[in-house]
Order: sequence, then C-alpha cells, then structure tokens
Amino acid sequence: MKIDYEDKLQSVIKAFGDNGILDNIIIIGSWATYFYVKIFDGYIPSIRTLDLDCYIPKTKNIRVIKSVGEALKPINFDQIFDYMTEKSKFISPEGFEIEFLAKLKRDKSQIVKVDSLGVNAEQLGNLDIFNEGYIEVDFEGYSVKVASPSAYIMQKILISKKRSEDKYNKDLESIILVYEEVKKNKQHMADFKSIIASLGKNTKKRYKNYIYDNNLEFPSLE
Amino acid sequence: MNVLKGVLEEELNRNLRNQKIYREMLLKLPKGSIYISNRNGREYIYRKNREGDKIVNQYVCALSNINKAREEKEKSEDYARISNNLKISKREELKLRKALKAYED
Repeated sequence: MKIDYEDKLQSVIKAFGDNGILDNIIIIGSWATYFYVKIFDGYIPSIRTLDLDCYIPKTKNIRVIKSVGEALKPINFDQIFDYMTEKSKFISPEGFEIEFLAKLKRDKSQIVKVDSLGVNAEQLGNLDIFNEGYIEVDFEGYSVKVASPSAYIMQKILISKKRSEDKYNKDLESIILVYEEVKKNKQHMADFKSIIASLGKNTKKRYKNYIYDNNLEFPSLE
Repeated sequence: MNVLKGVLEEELNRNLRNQKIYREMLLKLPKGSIYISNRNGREYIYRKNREGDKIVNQYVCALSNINKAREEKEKSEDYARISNNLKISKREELKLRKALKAYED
C-alpha cells in the first residue's frame, strides 16, 4: 500500500486515541500486520486491502469522549448504514473503510448496536479468539491493541472456508508471511501452540484440513 | 487470477459503490453555499445556488434563529465536503482504471 494510506491510518489512530475509542477496540484483519514491524525485526507487511476491521471485545459499559462518527468526521470519513443488514461503516474518498465487529452471540443476530460508540457492529464467529489474543504496541504515542500474530493466523485459518478465492489466496499469503516470523520467536510460537491446544473438536479439524490442503509445515495437533 | 489484479478490481468496485453513496448523500442535502445578509440592521441567512445561467438567492432564516442557522451551516459545510469527496473518488477511479489497464493484455 502506498504511503498516503499509512498517513490515513495514522490519522485514524490519532482520532481514536484522542477520543477514548482506542481503549475499547482491537485492530484485527490485514491492517493488524502493519503494526508487526514493531515486534518483528525487518518485517515488511503485505497489506492489500483498505478495510480496517476493529473488533469490540466488550460492547457494553463503554465510555468515550466522542462517538466514532464525530471523531472521524474531521478527517473526512462519513458514516453509512446498510438498511438491509443495519450494519454501519465509515468510508473515506480515498477508499479507506472502517468496520466494527463483535463476537457472535447466542441469538445469532447480525448486528449489535454499540450506542456509546454510535456504531452497529457486525457479529461474526471466531472473533473471541482475540479476547486474549492481542498485543499492545506503542504507535505515535498511542497504545494500540492489535491482534497477536498467532491469533491473527488462526482466525484467518478458521474463516478460510467462507472466503472468496481471491481473499483466500490473499489470506494464505499473509498467513505464511506472519508465520515465518512467529516461528523465529519462542514466545510467539508458544502462543500459537497454546491457541491450537485450546481449539474445540470442529475447529481443530478445520485447522488440520487447512494446513493439509495448503501443504503448510505448521505445528500439528499432537 | 493475479492477486494484484483482484485487489485493484476490488478497490474499483468499492470506489464506484462509494461514488454512488456520495451522490445519494448530496441529493439529501440542499445545494449551494450560504451567506449572511444585513437588511435594516438585522442579519439573515441566504442560500446561493446556480440554476442554469441564473444565480438564485434563497432565504433560509434569521441569524438570530441560532439552532436553525447552525443546522443550515452544517448542511452547507457537509455539501461542500461531500462534493469534494466525490471529486477525490473520481480521481481515485481514474488511477485504479489506469493501473488495471496493465493487466488487460
């Protein structure tokens, strides 16, 4: 991605940081890897999307200075609603899109309204992996919560069946790139193995099939 | 399919979708810029708008009507901002189409 997108990301982080939003979200999805330069020496992220996905681990009792819409308006983002799904997202003319996600609840409703943030977050499965699976990095003076490399890889693997061919290939490339760094680091490798061990029966099967289908030399289930 | 081509196509689709959203947003806002006019010692807000060859000045409200005045000012600012966003999006569209041309042959 070009530098101006990085500038845009910096302005988003600043807007979120200054308005108390940053404490309540975890950056997941491909832009999480942008922050891995802070933890992996010489790492060059390969980001091929302008979607910034923000996971809200706790959707209640959130206190912020300004709502997301108010915080982002000065940096030229507009909030839009999809009237079919009630999902909200924020768009910029450069193509940047910010979406909010929350873990799937038992009622399996598509969205959850987070009034204090002024957003309707989409509820998806396999996101609770980030409740514990995140790291905090210092970025331009702000503490940013970002998906841990291990959780990032595992979530991408677990959702792979639902991805289009293009996105599947993009994800695979990103998974391999991040895993190359994870395996060089004892702590991150231990985290990855711990996540594998914590998987349920069905998710273990999905992991096993994925590494087999793509011929990956990843830790086995044993 | 080439991954980069796929990325560019995805971005182009998003760009076109966003342009449509910006156009819809503009339709919901009053067109034109607002200004304050002083008449008989009192200040009023007017909206200036072009209709064909003519410039039309439309009365909006008295400046003393603080809430209405603020609301109209915000709408006018939003109109200008979103119009500009549409222009930026169109520029981005051209860049994306140019980049995609490299994959045509």
